[in-house]
Amino acid sequence: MKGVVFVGFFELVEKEFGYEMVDKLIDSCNLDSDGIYTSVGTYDHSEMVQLVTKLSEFSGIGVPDLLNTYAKYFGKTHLRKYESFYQEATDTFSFLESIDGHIHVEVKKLYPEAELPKFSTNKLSDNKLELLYSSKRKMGDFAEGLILDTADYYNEKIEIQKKNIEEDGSQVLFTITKI
Amino acid sequence: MDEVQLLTRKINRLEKARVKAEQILEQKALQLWESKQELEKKVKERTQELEIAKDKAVKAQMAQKNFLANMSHEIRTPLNAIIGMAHLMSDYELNNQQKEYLNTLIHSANILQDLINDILDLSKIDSGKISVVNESFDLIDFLNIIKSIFLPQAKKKGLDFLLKIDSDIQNFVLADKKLLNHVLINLIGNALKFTERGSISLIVELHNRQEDKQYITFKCKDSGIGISKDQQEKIFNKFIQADKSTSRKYGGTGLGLSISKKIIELLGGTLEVASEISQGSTFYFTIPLTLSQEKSIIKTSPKKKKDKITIKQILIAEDNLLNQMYLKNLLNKWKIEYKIAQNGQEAIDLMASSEFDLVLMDIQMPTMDGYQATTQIRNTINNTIPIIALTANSFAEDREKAKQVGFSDFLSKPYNPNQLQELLLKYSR
Ligand code: HEM
Ligand SMILES: Nc1ncnc2c1ncn2[C@@H]1O[C@H](COP(=O)(O)OP(=O)(O)O)[C@@H](O)[C@H]1O
Repeated sequence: MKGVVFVGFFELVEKEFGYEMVDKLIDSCNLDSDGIYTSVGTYDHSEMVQLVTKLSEFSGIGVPDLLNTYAKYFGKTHLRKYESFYQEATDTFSFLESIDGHIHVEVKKLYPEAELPKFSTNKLSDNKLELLYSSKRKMGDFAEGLILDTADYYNEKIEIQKKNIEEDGSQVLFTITKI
Repeated sequence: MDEVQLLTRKINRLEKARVKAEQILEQKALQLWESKQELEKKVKERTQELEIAKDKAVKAQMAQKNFLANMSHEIRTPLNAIIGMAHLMSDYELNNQQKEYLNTLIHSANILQDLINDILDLSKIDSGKISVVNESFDLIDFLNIIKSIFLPQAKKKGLDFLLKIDSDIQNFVLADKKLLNHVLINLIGNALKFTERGSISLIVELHNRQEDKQYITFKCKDSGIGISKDQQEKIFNKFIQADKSTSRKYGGTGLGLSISKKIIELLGGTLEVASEISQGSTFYFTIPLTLSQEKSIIKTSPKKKKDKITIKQILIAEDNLLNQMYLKNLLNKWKIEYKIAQNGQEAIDLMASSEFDLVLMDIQMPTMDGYQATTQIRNTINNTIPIIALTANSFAEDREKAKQVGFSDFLSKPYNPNQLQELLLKYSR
């Protein structure tokens, strides 16, 4: 997993719980990286799983909520740097539709070692879109947060219905409705 | 854990992260540099490959050109003999059946000759060997001559032939008459070929005048079978005929229009077509013709034409037996004496021992070719005797080379009796 995801995560933890929490997380997890992350590096995905699980333990907040919240923060602070992707699309749906065939493709060019999910979309009507998330990293909750953040960016109100297609969360179907 | 300790740990961690980040960036930079090197190498390789490919293409083109020149030579030599013999044969008493055969023979040989000429023309244009040679002439006269050539042919098919000339056009122009003639003859020839009823018009209009130039539009209009939109785009390509049945029904090679198009481009215009199936076709182009100051045109060689060949002794240098026979027959008929040399060396030997009025010299001969022989004759034996080059090579280059080594004239094979007679008259004193 790209370092930027870890760096962003620590930023948010420090902001919400203080640096002490960051330190505590590093100490209590068994991290190959020793918690030394840089946004240009690449680290094992399991480290993120450990960190989020431990944070949930310490804070009493559920993992899904944490990922969801973190995704919104990540979108606003880190993804917004990729201005052009946002400008190329006109609304939430067209942006989401362009992830798999365009955005993540470009990301892969920039970071060949990035591990990205697969998305497929199905437009049911002008205000209904199905988005199928597939990834063995099982970060559907993170995806949900990013979807909500995208709607924020385009000033649109949406409602998300989420359904696990695979029990373990490696495939999640989102039905997104504009309201 | 106190505040200071915590901060130190944070700073430590961030410091390590910074060092790590720098290492990663260094590594990335190195990778980038390496892939740039790789890319440059690839570009170089590709460029080289391209150059090799280009080289090959150029060589292939050269080979093709040489092939054309050689083939034309190979074909012209026997064709020369065929046409020559056929003409000689027509002097004999023949029964009707024989006459018919002979006519077919001559007709077919002429078609073959036209085809070879077309191919050679095209290869000359393609290789830039045709240049525009302007001369001053009367455009209206010129057009009337063209009309007088085609009117009888049109009448024979029951067609009208109309020539319409814009009265604003100034008669005297400076232009390449031969090339213009070539194109108009091709266009009108096609019009005649593809029209069964109605008329053919050659319309010549003043487009505009600019300084010393008049831009003139030539339109060749017919009421014939027409050409579909699809085909209109293709007919200017080499060897293309509008449909496959065309060549069976009307003959032709599909070269005429591509030659004409190239010639018109050479003259500063574009050959275009407007046509409607079964309504007819109009081929048209606009070219600049420079106005000619001199109203009096220098008539080509006003020298009084001689009417009798006064040449008595001819030296023939020719290795091909068929061609020798053809020449012998003609000269016997005209009662001119001759001696035959099999190659350049023999020709030189004969010249040293006998008197001749004129030499007919083949270019390609064994032992010593016509160029070498003529150079030597000019240098050591006789500087003034007319030496006529006989050759199947008809490229401008060959003519140029023949002139340089001292040939007086050039007769390209196959030639008919009249052409040789004309030349002999020209050199009669
Ligand atoms: C400007 C737009 C975006 C950019 C530049 C971007 C880039 C990235 C990058 C760099 C990663 C990390 C890959 C790794 O850790 O190796 C990532 C992961 C991810 N992205 Fe995007 N992304 C964008 C938009 C989105 C959106 C709108 C969604 C949600 C629908 C999304 C869903 C995800 C998910 C769920 C992951 C986690 C990896 C996984 O689940 O397998 N991305 N993206
Ligand atoms: N005036 C015309 N009317 C109809 N078709 C024509 C006319 N002129 C040319 N074409 C078509 O264009 C083809 C190419 O013409 P050209 O290059 O002169 O070759 P050729 O006449 O020797 O076949 C002809 O075969 C004929 O199909």
